[in-house]
Amino acid sequence: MSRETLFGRIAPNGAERTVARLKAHGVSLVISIPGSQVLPLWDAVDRTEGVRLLVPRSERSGAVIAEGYGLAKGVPAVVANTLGPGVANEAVAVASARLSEAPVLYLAPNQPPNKRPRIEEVFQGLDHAAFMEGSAMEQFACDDSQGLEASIDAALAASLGEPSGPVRLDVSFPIFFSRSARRSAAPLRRLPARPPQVGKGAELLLGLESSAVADGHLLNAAGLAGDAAVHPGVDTPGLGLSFALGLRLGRTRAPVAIVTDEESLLGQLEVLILAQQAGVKVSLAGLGVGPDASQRLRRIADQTGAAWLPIDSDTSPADVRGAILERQKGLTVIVG
Amino acid sequence: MPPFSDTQDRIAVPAFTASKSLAGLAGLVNLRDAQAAAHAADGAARVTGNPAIVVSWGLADVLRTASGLVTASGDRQPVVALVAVEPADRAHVVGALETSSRTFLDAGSNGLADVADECIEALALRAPVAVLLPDVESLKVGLSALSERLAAGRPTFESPKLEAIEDLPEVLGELREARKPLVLVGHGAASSSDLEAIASLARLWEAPICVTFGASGMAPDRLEAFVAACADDVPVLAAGTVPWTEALARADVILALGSGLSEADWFGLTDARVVRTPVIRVALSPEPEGVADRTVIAEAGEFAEALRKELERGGVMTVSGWHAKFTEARARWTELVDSEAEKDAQRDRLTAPLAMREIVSAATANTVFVGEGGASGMWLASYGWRRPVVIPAQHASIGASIAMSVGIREAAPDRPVWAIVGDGAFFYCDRELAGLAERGQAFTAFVFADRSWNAIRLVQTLFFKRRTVGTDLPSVDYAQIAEIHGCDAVEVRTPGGLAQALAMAQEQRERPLVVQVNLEKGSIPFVGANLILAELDGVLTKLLGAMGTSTLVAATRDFPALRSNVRVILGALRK
Repeated sequence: MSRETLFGRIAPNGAERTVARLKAHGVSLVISIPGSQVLPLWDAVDRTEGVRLLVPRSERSGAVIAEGYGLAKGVPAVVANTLGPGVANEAVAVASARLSEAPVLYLAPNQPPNKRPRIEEVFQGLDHAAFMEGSAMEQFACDDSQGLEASIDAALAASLGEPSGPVRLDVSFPIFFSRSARRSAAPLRRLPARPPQVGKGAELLLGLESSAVADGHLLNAAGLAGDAAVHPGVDTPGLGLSFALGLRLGRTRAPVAIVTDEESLLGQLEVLILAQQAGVKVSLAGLGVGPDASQRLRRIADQTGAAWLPIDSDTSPADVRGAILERQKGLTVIVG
Repeated sequence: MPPFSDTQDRIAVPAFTASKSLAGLAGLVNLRDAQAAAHAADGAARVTGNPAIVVSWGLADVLRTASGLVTASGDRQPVVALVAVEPADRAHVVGALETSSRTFLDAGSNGLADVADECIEALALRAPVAVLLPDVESLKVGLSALSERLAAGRPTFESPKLEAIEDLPEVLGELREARKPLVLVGHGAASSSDLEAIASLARLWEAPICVTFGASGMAPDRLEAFVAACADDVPVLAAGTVPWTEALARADVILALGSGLSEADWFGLTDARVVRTPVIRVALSPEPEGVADRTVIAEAGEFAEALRKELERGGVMTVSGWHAKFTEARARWTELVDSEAEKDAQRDRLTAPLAMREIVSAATANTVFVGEGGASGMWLASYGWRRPVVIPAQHASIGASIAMSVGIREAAPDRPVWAIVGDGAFFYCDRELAGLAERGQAFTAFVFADRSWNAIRLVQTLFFKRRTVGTDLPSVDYAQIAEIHGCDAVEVRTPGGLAQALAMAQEQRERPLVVQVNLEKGSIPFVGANLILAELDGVLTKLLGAMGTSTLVAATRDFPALRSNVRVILGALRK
């Protein structure tokens, strides 16, 4: 893990040790909105083969992507947003993952211990643990560089435990920057992945914006009434598209679809753009919507790089479902 | 319990929600997202100094509201969050509400009635309040009762009687003997004190005035009055600029008026208490003391007036030319940032400095600017410092500017509201543009599209040997997306194009206008260094030790204004 430089080998910093440990446990996705304190992690991910950095356009959407991913893959994604408001913006997603029992590791840089007694005076100071007390399933803290690997092991084990769920690990951020040759990492006992919690063996993985959005009529029209559907743990509009992208990223085979409505879609346009960045081909379709809405949706497809799926109310449910099944590695967004 | 006076004229108390079950209630402005609704209330409170309300129902909306309340709480804005959830969800929200507000009130079955007095008291001290009510019905009743009570008069804190200043011999002694005094004006003083008295004190004392980031968002009328009161003979220095940093680093006494002295008020000068200058804080409450050596409980304007009289009697010991030095430094700074813009104008290149200079020049004097914590806010801080500029200071949150503008629009309908939005932050609250369009409200958002997380590139430039990992953003047509949300929109690529867009923004409009300003990559904000150093407080000394300050300065070689700021900061760190 140490690196060779012109001046000899240098010891890894805390961020490099973190990413190496995560990789050793099978973690391959880090989702992060930047702040100075997480940049060593970005640098470390960039230098690590097999671990990918996804930079969403808001902490909330990134955190909900991790929920879908954890449920579909059985291995947590790591959400590593910056401290203070970056962590606060995750709140609804953490609660959602707790309700859906999605394994997710929220790894946050934290202010060092000497600053916490007067946290309200500290720039971007927030008591993360108190803020997330009712949302996270379990929370850990690492203030000692020597205990970094053990903290990561414990947090990952808790997220994959019974029940599984969102676990937070606050790491005093100077640890990420610090290089120390004197350390003896806890021996690695790689954690077994959980089997995927959703869509096992299903021909198609179906996400819903929320239970209220997708009525029976729309599911029937899309030929999806017989498919097992899943929505974010917090059953509210505005999270579904991120959740579905997470399902897609966590599910390597079989098509993924999401049924949503226009207003919810308009609040999540960032996700369509992010999907392109992540290499996911998005297809967008309006079903049972009027001509004006259809025109708007086509325009959205144009602007976000999504493909337009030409279906309408005359298309038979079997054909709609067939079109979705054709997009094996894509994400199909049905707007009703 | 502090006494309150409700004798002022009735005030408007804007209230915001995103919860469907509350939509349509009289007086509520509806937003799409509950976090945005909290930001809207925050924006309204910032420009008026008066309370504003956000109302939310249900687990998801209450947690989103708490996320937004964090920003308001960091800057001590008088925002009340009235919230309710199903009984089963209470445990999920209490921690977030307690932490995101300065005062959390868990109302019982009687609803707001039992906690109304406590709520008003907390607001009078400019403490954001979260009130957890039992059900949606109690939310409706509570909203109506609280709105009526708050509208009856701004809750004012009857300030403690100032002890005769001569009874504070140690404080007075330190202030009298100051040879390089500095007055730091925080949001508390900016929003409620006698600013004329503060200006008069600074004039007599020959002290420069440093305004904190929080104070720069003071109610618009007050900023104008303050700048006028200071005239040209009292240098008012804007947060984060080179002369501001220099003044803080060189002063031998700092009189902090109405400031919580949090790190956001010091930007970049906090690591290991590098400011060892004696700090005397004057505020209405003993906490938080921040870096203060002493706190005097008093109203800032009243204290300033008493001190001025004392100094008038006893004479001042300020060294000759002390404040003139900063008048000159401010002029040099203005010239430096202007030259950055002018250089680009000569080459017909649309860059952030040029765009910012042109936007600020085109705005009418009563325009309220709204920014956020990323690079766009840093640009605004570089050029817009004589304007009311609303920027989240303590948390430097990104993504709130459009939602805050909704609240400012409601609270100050006669003022043009212009937001500077970074392309990295656009999608946090873009959907709120639709509400502005539906309500037919004028508002202009300038989206600074440089296809990068520019504030983060600054850190990578300084500390990661210019390795810019992950900071590139894809090209997005923000103008088209704004049109999808129902706005007018235009995309500009040249200085000439920007001039045309500014002419559109100056017209009487009945819809929001979004101007996508396509910028060349590579400009680094001038005041960002302070912010970044503040973020890295805790590792800064170690980082500088490892890389050497000369390496850090060398990393800024292409950016003269930034280099100048970094040098001053490093000088302060060595002090």
